[in-house]
Amino acid sequence: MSLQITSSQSDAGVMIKLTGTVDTKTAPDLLLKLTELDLPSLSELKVDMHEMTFMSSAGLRALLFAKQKMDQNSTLIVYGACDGVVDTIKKTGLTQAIVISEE
Amino acid sequence: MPNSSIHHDASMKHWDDFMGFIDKLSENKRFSSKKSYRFKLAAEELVSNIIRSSESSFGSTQIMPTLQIAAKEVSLLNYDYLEVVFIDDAPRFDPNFDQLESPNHIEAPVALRPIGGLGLFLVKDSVDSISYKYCRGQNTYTIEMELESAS
Repeated sequence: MSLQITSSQSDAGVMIKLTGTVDTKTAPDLLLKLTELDLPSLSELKVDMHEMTFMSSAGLRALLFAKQKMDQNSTLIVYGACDGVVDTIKKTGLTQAIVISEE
Repeated sequence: MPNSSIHHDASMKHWDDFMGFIDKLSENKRFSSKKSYRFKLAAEELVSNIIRSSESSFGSTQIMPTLQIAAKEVSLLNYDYLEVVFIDDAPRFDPNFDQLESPNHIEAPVALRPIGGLGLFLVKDSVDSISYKYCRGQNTYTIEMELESAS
């Protein structure tokens, strides 16, 4: 029930790695991290979810918030997400905003 | 599984206690991994909503509502399920699960998507059955999750 967030620069933009769970308690930490980025200038934001075991709607809201702050031609990509997270992103119709990579 | 329950003030101070209890329930051996995740998602969303309502109520009344979660396995003729009941004494809140559908804004362009409105939809969508009643000053939400056959 904890969350660690690390970030790094990539050629195309920023990569964030999430370890642990993103729920009502920890989502504010994710939101804070996202707001510290210069979102309007990013062409790509990648979120590594290989080590993330759970994400509730609080986490989705944080990601959607970030995408809405980014340029409309930018991409927000999540990869390594578990089946439960992929399922949640799809059923809430957020695949318009969040690209799911199977990498 | 013996009956089990937890009861605390409905505040974020007890978030880890509630989630620890939910985690244990989600580890039921008769849940597939998919069902386990769905149950945990529904329970997290519901507890989050209850706590939000409670803490808002506390702001005006200075009385903190409480939340009790109780679980038991129920065995019927051809159907076994885990029944989990969430009881709080926060102000009345009826989610109208029967009328809840995919939020309209799901089809809206990204820029127009409201940030909220997903939690209750995910609660309803993730469980096998959910019901609500208000009685004696308490909101009661009852979730049922079918259990796979005991081997």
